[in-house]
Amino acid sequence: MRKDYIARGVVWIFIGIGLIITLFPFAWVVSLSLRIEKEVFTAILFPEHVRLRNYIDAWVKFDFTMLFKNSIVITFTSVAVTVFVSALAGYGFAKFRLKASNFLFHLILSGIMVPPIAVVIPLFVFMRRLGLFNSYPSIIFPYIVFGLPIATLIFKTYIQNLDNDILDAARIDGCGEFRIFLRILLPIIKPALATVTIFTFMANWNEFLLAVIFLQDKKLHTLPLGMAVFMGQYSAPWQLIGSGVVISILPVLLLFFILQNQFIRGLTAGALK
Amino acid sequence: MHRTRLSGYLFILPALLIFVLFLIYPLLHTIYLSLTEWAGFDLSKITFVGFRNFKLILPDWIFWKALRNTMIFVFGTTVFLNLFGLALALFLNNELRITRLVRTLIFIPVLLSPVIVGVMWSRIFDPFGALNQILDEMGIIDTPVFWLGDRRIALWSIVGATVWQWVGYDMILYLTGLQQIPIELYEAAKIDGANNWHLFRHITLPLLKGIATMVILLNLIGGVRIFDIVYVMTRGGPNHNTEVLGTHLYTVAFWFNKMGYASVIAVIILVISLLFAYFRNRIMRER
Repeated sequence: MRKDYIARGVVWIFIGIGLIITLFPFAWVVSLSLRIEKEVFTAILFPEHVRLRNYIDAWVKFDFTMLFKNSIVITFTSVAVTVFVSALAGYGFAKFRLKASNFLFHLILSGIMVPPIAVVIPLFVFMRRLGLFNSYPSIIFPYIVFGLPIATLIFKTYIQNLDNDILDAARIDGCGEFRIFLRILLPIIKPALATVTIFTFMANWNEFLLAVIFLQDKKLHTLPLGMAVFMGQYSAPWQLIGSGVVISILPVLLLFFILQNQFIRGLTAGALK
Repeated sequence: MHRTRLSGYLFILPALLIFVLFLIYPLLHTIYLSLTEWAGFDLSKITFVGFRNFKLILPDWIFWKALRNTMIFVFGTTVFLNLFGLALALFLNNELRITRLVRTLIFIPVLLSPVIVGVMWSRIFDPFGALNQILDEMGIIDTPVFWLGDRRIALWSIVGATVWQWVGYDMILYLTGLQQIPIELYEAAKIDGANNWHLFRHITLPLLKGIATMVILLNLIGGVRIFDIVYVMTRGGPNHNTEVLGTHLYTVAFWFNKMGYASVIAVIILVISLLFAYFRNRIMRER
């Protein structure tokens, strides 16, 4: 019995240390974000003076209004298109007997294996030829294409397990195929819609590599890009970097605490398939 | 029947079009570009040079360093992510309220952009940053450690920040695996007089093999793609000691405008990724 207590103690010490390591950087960044310049390097967690104005200064310096606007436009558009297009495809693969179905599905699925960096150069060339370089579409299309494979897989798997009865009944009633998709299928695949939305939302909201290559115009910068650029300046004041970090992670954290389970399910859904 | 077949293809068409246009075509184009030479600005001046670019790899010591660093990063992160991820999963495998809270907290870094993680940790790792302050306060060091400036330490600091971000992800995946193991197995073994170590050694471990393989391969494949966090924390420095394939490609392509040679690096990254993916598929098919 005593051995049991010791073992349990060791386990909780391990978890405690893990928890401190996980949370300390957040606590430190929050503390940093509130400091006056003089205390940036002197305090560890609790500064003597608190300066809330850092947040206003950081907002202006980073131009968060613009960063949020760009991130929202780019993420929302690419997620909406990805969800719609891959739901269509998932339905097509799941419920129609097509000769090329298997081949085409595996073709799209193979996209999972391609790292974005392996195609950035030709995409760069392609976007310039299309005259799209340095515009919203130049980043939205790559985001869609890299979201498609897993999204299609999730939708196909989910739709395959649905009963045919409802769809057949609607077909007998004379509903067109597209109407069936919109009116009957979409409402019953809500869980899959949530999963794919969260998954692609997080991937695109946080994406950096494609953004740094295709969005060279400062006016198009997204949140991660704006943070990286600001960090790159040697004169960037630490306390403002702190406030900037807090501002940029707060929205996602709030969403996460409201929709915890959906988030965890959404983010790990593609991993084990 | 004919009508439904046509509409079936129509449902797939938009996805297929986008996929061919923005992935298949660029992929084939990468291979072609690796056989050309051009400065990256004048698109009309792309000339075919055959395999000349591939010969540039041998004398490019930065490439070899980047390849080595990438592999150290890939295997380093995979080992620590799986060790800590599995340990956390084992310790937090119950539904107490406190356990659920701890799991949620450990998952939080997964939500961040690697750029943000890089920003946070580059301040913590700074010679004047939080880590040195704490170690100094505790009397462990008396001169500042250059976590990102020392060539022997820098890469491992980046490994540390990456493990910090993703350990919650591996933990959740292992928990999924643990929860699939039927409780009856443990109960039966306990009746037979097995202790905790026996249960772990003879039930948990063997039944986690499948999921462990998947998680390990997932980490390996993800590791090859490393770019953001290095870009933000060190830009590949000091003296290319944290240079990875992604950052090297980026510099060659978009700073030096050697697009042909950069495409060769792209092809190599692609081949490495496909190799890992091939192993993953083979293992999954065997299961």
